[in-house]
Amino acid sequence: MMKLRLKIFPLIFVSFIFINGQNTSYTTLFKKAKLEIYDNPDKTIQIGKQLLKNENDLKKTIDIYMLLSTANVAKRNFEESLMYILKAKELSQKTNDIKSQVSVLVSVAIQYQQMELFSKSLETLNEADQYLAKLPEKTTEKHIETATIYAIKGMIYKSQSNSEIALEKFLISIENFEKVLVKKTTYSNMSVVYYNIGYCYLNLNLIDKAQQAFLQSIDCAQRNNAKSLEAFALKGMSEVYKQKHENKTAIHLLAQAESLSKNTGDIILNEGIYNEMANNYLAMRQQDLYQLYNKKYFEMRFKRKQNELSSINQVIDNHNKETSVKSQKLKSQYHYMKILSFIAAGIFIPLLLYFILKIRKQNKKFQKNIQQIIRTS
Amino acid sequence: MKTISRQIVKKNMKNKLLFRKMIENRGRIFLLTFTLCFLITNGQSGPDFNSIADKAFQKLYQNPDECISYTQGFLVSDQDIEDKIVLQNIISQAFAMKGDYMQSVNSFSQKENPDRNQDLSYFMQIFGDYNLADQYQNLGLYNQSKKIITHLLSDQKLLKSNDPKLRITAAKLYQLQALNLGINRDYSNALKNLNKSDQYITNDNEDNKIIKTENKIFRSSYLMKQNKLTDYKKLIENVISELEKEKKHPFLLSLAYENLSRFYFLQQDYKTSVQKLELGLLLIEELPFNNIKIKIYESLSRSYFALHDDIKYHQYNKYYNDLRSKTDSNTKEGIRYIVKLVETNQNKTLEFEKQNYLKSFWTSTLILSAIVIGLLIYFLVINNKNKDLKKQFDFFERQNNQQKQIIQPVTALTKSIDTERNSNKISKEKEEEILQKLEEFEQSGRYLNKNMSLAMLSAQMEINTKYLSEVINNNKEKNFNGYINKLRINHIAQLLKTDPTFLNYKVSYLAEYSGFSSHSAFTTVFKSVTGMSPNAYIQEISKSKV
Repeated sequence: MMKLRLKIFPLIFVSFIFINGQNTSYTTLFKKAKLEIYDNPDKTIQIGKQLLKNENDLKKTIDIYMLLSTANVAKRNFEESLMYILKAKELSQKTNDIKSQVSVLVSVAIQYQQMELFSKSLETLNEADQYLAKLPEKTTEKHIETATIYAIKGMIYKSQSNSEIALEKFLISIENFEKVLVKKTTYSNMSVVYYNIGYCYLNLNLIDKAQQAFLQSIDCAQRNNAKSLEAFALKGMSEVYKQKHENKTAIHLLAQAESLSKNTGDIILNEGIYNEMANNYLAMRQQDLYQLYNKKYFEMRFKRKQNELSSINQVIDNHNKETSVKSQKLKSQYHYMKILSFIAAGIFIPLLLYFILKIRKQNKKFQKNIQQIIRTS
Repeated sequence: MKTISRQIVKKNMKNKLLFRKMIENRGRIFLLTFTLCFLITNGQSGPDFNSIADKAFQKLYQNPDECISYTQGFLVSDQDIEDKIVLQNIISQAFAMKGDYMQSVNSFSQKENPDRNQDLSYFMQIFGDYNLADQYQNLGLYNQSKKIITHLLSDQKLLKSNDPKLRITAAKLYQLQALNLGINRDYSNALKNLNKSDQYITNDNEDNKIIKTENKIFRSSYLMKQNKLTDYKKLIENVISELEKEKKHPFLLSLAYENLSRFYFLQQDYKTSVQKLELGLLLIEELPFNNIKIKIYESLSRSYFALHDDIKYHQYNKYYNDLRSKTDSNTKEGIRYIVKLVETNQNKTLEFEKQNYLKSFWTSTLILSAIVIGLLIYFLVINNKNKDLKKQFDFFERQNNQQKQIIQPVTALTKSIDTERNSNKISKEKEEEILQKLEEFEQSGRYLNKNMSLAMLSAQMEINTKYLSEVINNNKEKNFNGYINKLRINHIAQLLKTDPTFLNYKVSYLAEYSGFSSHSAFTTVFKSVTGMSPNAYIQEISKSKV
């Protein structure tokens, strides 16, 4: 469960960083590569490498490296992914633009976090902190980046079941977000952070504070009209009521969340909602409804797991296909070589046989003649 | 004549002998490899290894840790690849039961380093693929697992085999396929596969018995999913009572209890459900069966939740979450590993295939070129013979003509004189005189004198050596030695033909008689003139006399 929640956040930030494209053919290709990232990472890598060849712009090259790194995470090829991350990091050092340096470091940290290399991620975030100090105070960028860095730190600590420290970081993050003069995406990010804060409080068994946090999360989501985020927050809120054994209220909230999430089709969200639904019905001893939602929950869980594995499946399928093509090629190649040698033999053998027979015939004739000469004389 | 052919025959015989020797050697090697293979396969399927593997498999269901150390001991000492694959599979399964999928894939990968030069037996191929399908399933890559198994189970050779090892592998494959189908909620087909799996099971050893019990448990759970509750209950209670009697399969029994608890949960009898789960947990609490522990913790936390027992719910929920996150990250690692493994393995397979193709290409090319070279050699041999025969034919024809010439030598002589060219410095008269003298010399038989030389002849004829030599060179198409030798050979050949007593003399005597200093020189010159050796000639003549 924790991991699922983790994923939403990075995705928002990643898209935030990436949507900066200018050049059209580059942008379309880049977008196409990004679309394929989880369904067919091999394709993304192929496009990425192709783009890399013709790219001279430093920033774009960094973007491509980050993309290649993410695609390799999808393939779970961490070595390659790390290689591209390091390249991106190296390149970012060459630019004199501190803002882009920081944003690259942040995305590198997110990448590390996805790979579950938490200490590496924290290290990178601290590095980003140092660059951030060079930025002038009280600018929007500084606030946003600081908030982001602390949010990621919080998530890392939370995933390590370190709710107290996580909470500390999240609160700093929120503090910085508050300072940003109203901007739409900020609300979405704030909603995500509040949602995480709520779960930290739940883990610490501070139910009232959790309720507050979820309320804030709902509020932020509504301000940006982010339905799925609102649904997430509602689901969090329902857990507060579940803890209080107010199952009916919880179910009511979940039903609200379900209707909000209908159009988004977010599997992770649905999985969480159905699971909570099932749990609450179970608590109310409504076995039939429990069975119904439990089944739905399992369906979603299975679907999500298979989705997560789809890139791996794709990679394995690609490998299998490639191998069978190569093996076919090899087979036909040797087939032709064999045929060629048989043809050569087919020419030489009859030719030799012809001459042999001819000479043998001649020899017999000679022998006969010689014998005749001897006998007659 | 006959000797020549005999010699050729002899040569051929020699070749044949050599060839046969080669075949014999090869045969010996074949025999050796065959017996070796036999010994290996025999040793492999021998009672020792089978009982070891069976014990290891039994331990797998009793205590994975013990199983791993037990099996690894044999793995180190056993050198046979087929044994190793089986043992590695058991270790790999033991790690999977512990929920340590990373190690599971790792030990699975180690078996992939057998000497590729050795041909993989059919069993090894099948078993290797079964291993891979098993790994894919452990890691949640059901589609990949399904693909491999579908491919394997379409092979009639496997399905109709009588080899117990292949039969149990087929049973395991059907079981795996049933699980794959069950995960996709295709319960009726899953049950069909379980039935097929049962068909391949005997009661011979623990391996078979365990798979059979597992099949029963899986079958019961699918029956429950299909809502056939009476059938379900009968089956699962039957399994549980059997396992309770045996008391040596804690894993299977706890799996069965967990299964039964689901039934009571469904019936909303949460207390009995908890009771069964606690029974199951008690059996394996001290054992590292993490894969079943996860299930039990999950079910327990759910049941306690339904019972509103918050403390126990939180406790088991925590256990469940901790174990889950542990195995989840392990699974991810395993997946990472297996993707790499597939990559390297496929490259290896390609390399292996290439070598195989290259081998077969070279063998066929070598065979073909051997045939071509053989024919070429034969061609050269018979071409040589052809040359010899031509020489013989020419010689005999000339000899025949000479006989006729002797009857009317004069005409021939005058004719020959007429045709003489006149390009030399020697006058025509002088040349004619010399030729006349040479004619006399040819008739006289003085050339049989061992010491006959150009100087001697010129002294006898009272002619300048230079003149004589030049006339011989111009008119006899040979130098003096060739001329003398030809005369000698013609003489002796004629004698052999006309006087049967000569046929009884030794060749060395004939050499001596015809003025040659040695036997070998005589033979060589004889052959160069007539195209056959003196012996062959003698034989040929005596044959015609008979």
